[in-house]
Amino acid sequence: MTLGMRVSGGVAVLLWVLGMAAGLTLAPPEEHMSDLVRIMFVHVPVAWAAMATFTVALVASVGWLATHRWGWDHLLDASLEVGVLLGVLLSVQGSVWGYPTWGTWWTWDPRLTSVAVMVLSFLGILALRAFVDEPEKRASWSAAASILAWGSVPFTYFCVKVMNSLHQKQTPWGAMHPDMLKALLLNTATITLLTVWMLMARYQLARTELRRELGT
Amino acid sequence: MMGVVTEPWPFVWSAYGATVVLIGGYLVSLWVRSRSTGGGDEQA
Repeated sequence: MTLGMRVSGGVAVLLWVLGMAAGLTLAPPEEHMSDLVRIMFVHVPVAWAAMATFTVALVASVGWLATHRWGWDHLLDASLEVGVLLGVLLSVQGSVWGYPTWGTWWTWDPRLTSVAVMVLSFLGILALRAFVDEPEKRASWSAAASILAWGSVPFTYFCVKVMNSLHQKQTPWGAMHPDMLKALLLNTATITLLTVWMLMARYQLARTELRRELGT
Repeated sequence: MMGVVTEPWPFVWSAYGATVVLIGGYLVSLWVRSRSTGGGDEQA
């Protein structure tokens, strides 16, 4: 890892920790959920980052299938792994928030089920990549599968608007206390920055791994 | 609307803790894999 990557990674981690500290201290408790609302400051940014990362996987997949340039496959490799990490984290955070508010860790609600389908779909593609030895086939098959799997992303986002879901709908920004909005935006910015850094670091790793695999 | 629990902080700490453990663990795994492959030191 280059010095520039190490320094930028350190800065991204520092900002991420500061953002979480703001979520724990800056915003006031909410009227109905009291301090439980603080989970929103890490849950919503991770949801955004996960869906954005899966969308990067879609772009990388189209890029690979259109050009067969290895850079797109490195980006696909990176976005699949980082996206699954964020998706699993999203589910854990949601479960921890669900128990005190809904009285259950898990329920087959449309939003929760669609998140599970989204994460398991991309996890399956990661498994597919691990089992295919030939790099060209691995890249093309996982790109095609990722384009199909991406259909779960808009479904996950919009299902709470059109289906009868236990999960609350997106809160309008104007309805939020200004300090809550600041904490939410700060955490969204810091998790986005950290996600971009993780994608860059994983991209470099994927490039090195392929060079070793091809013996170049 | 609170469900079965009235003390929120254990859940808040659990959610933040899970965030730190999962993302922190992944960052460490990136660092270890990068060191073991010498990954990323060369330029594109």
